[in-house]
Amino acid sequence: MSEFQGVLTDRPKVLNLGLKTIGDSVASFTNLYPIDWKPPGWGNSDLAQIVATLYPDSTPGTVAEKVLQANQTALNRMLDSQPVLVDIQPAIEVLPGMNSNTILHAGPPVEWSDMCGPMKGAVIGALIYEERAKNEEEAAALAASGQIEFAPCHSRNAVGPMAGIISPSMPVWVVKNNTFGNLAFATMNEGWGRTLRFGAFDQDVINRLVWMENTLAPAMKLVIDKLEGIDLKSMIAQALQMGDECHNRDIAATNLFFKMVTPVLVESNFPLEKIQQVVRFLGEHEHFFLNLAMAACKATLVAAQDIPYCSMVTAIARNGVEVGITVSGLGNQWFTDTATVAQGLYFPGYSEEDANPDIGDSAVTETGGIGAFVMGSSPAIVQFVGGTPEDALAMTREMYHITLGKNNSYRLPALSFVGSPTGIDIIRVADTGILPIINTGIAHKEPGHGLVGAGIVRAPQGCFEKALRAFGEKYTDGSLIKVEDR
Amino acid sequence: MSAEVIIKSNMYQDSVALMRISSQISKLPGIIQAAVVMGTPQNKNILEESGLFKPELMAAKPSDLIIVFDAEDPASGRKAIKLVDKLLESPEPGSKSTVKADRNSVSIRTAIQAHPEVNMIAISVPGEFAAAEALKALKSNANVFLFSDNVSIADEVQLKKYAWSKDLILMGPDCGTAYIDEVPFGFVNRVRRGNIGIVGSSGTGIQELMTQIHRLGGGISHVIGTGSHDLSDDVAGLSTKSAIIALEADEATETIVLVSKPASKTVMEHILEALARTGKKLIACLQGFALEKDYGNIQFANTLQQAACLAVNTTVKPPVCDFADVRVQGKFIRGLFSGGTLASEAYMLLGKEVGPVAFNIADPWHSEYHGHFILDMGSDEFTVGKPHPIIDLNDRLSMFKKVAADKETGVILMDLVLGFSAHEDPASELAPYIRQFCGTNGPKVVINLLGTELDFQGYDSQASKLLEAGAIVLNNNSDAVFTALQLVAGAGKGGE
Repeated sequence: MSEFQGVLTDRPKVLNLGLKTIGDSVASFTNLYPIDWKPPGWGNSDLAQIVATLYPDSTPGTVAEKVLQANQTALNRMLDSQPVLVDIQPAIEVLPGMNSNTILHAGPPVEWSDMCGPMKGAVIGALIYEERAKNEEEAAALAASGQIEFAPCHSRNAVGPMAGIISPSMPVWVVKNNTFGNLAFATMNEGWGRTLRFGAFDQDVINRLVWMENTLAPAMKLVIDKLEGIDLKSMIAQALQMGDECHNRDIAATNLFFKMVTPVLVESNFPLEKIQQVVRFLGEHEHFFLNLAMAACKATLVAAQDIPYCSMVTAIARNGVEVGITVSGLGNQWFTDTATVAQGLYFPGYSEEDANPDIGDSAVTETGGIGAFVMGSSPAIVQFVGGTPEDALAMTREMYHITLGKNNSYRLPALSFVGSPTGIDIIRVADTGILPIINTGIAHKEPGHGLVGAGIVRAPQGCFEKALRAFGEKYTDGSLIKVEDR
Repeated sequence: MSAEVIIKSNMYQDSVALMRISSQISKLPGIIQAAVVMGTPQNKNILEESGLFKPELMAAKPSDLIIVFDAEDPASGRKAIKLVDKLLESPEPGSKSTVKADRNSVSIRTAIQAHPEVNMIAISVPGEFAAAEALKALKSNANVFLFSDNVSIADEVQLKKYAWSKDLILMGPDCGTAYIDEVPFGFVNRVRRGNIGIVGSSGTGIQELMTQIHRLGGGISHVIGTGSHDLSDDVAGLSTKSAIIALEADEATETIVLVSKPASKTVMEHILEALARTGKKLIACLQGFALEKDYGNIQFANTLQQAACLAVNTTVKPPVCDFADVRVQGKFIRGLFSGGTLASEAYMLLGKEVGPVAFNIADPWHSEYHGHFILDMGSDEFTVGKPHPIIDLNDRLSMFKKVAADKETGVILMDLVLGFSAHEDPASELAPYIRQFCGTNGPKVVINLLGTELDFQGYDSQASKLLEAGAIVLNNNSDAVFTALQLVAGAGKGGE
């Protein structure tokens, strides 16, 4: 019996896209299922056609089938990844292509003259910390001189929250993806308040960075070596069960880390005074784990990079001026759009007028299937936008519409332990018009004020429009159904 | 200005919840700035930076809740304290959800995931999105009813080949009508169930057929529209073939009627050969097709009315019209049609009887039109960016006014289509125009009222409204054409 033949004897079961009158007539005689159709590609018919051409199809030899296979490969690599914290080393020792003049920053590429306030402040602080400049004026002059090579953290498989500045002497976590052998890197989190990542560069900030290099990093190195690595995937999975989403809320993960680290430290022959400092530092900072979660997600995503025909997003990153994304099948090319200010709550004395547009590499968590994507199991976070736990669940459910699959390790208790929505697909994003949601801290637009609030933001539409057009240009030929050479 | 500091000891609240409370307090009239935070060192630093820190806060412990604000006057301060207490006691009851928890699907993909039993997708979205949505539907293993037009022939061919490879059917693009196992799609009339299946590339041709079959006592198994370009050389009748194969295998269908507007001769011959092999009882009503040989047991009909009679196995009724005493002044018939096949049939019948007739499908409408003419107002020429005239009568009514004012017009010949998706009360739209513009010396209005007594508009009440306005109402297209001919034959003669 042919597929159509079946409809004649088994009665049509119908979706109606378009005129309501057609659906109304159908509904009186058979099952009509609801759909709120909107033009795909945000109303751009060229994008709608690319979506249709690439829409999953198992017909051998079609470009759609190749995309289907490539995306399955990418998802499998993400799910199979085992990010493990294996080391902590100075950036210049471990980051590919890092030299004494390199400064890495968050987001897509940006030159000194175009950087936002907090990023400029963080660059100034980093140059003072590196003893390349004595004060703000000297540092700014050096940054503008052309001597310093600025590059995105992502270009070195690294990630940094907010301004995301990594300078050569800074210790960085080394996270190894044990399954695929690739590495990813991130700085250590400095804690709350006036910190380099928000563009503060006063003496306290510099002193803390020096202490982190000289005391915290050796302590962490000792612990990592003693434990022979720390499995970050299990730690994140456990923290999700405890109400973290491991982006804006890391308190459970930080506590788990603290619980694992402290006994090793106190049993070691590390100087007691330094152990006390380290334990106090870790004990005071709820967000210490954030950078580890970021590096774990980055190590996972690197394994899914550069797969031909793959439409999965491998990075979403913001530099405070622009938001950029990269796509596995399109290599290292950034697709950018203007960064917007997050919708959120502000600390006393601050308002949206003080806010810098969205900044930081921390959206790597959402790209990796946690963060705002698992908000349904982290209801405390949703209050940032004045929502309810139901809103958090709805946002998580919405993200399943734009992802390739469900995570095998990161699960949501509030949704019967279903796996988190994992692997953002630019085709699905354009098809549904649903933009990825990101939880984020809000930096003051002037350097040095620090965190002024936190909230929720969507990755901008323009990034996905540009990426899908480029994907269409590379992999389709303008015809509706493209058959590849076999 | 008044400042307030309250410390509630050992009262833990989540920091995000407190940020919410702070922001609500800050919005109260008369409050300059406010903070509700736990007494941690970090929070005290934040208060210091924002200028809200007061000496008495030094004593607050991390487990203490701090409420601090600057108010313009003590009264505003008291209100703020009240609100804090209320909000701390319980969060806002029934805070409104900003996202619909169970929102409907927004794409075919998610809708199919939620309802895998979907086997048919009706698409009437703007033309620029139609081909893309149809392809997604076919990829999802659903058959497609594609009402939208303005799909390129190249896309139509690709889509139909793809549908064929998956044993699916693409009805359309530009498919107005389908009726599958009593489920109506688009412009279709409610008819009794029976054993006659209809395949056609024309919308109103099918509607005319199915209503006549119903009127003659017959019934319909399925109606499968194929789209207006299906029998062109490029498309080569792929959907028509799929439809014939499906009806051949369908036990409920004993008779198949094929109906079409003018089509490619080569394709039509190929289709007729396929149809002849089905072994069913077969009738074909093909406008503009010159029959050169026999095709098995296929019976050929000249009009839609005749095709209906053959299908129901009755003889063609002679025209029932007798309006010998009705006199018109103008000599010419002007047809204002909403249905393409009906317009085309009228054009062919008139051509045989009265010689040259202008037709906008052959020669697009212009102000120099004279003599007899037929306008298919459902053609792209009139409908780009507008609803179809079966749904919206406005365009036809303004043309009606123009034509009625022409002294040469003897008869305004029209179709009025009832049924699913059609206008809910077309007679009430048309009747005032007939009254106003077709008085004693004006033209006569002859209407084929297409529908059945089961249609929701009510066939008899629609007919009454037209009759009361002074129209002549027929129940089929060919009778309407012959009546119009009879009226203009006596044009200018007699009268009062």
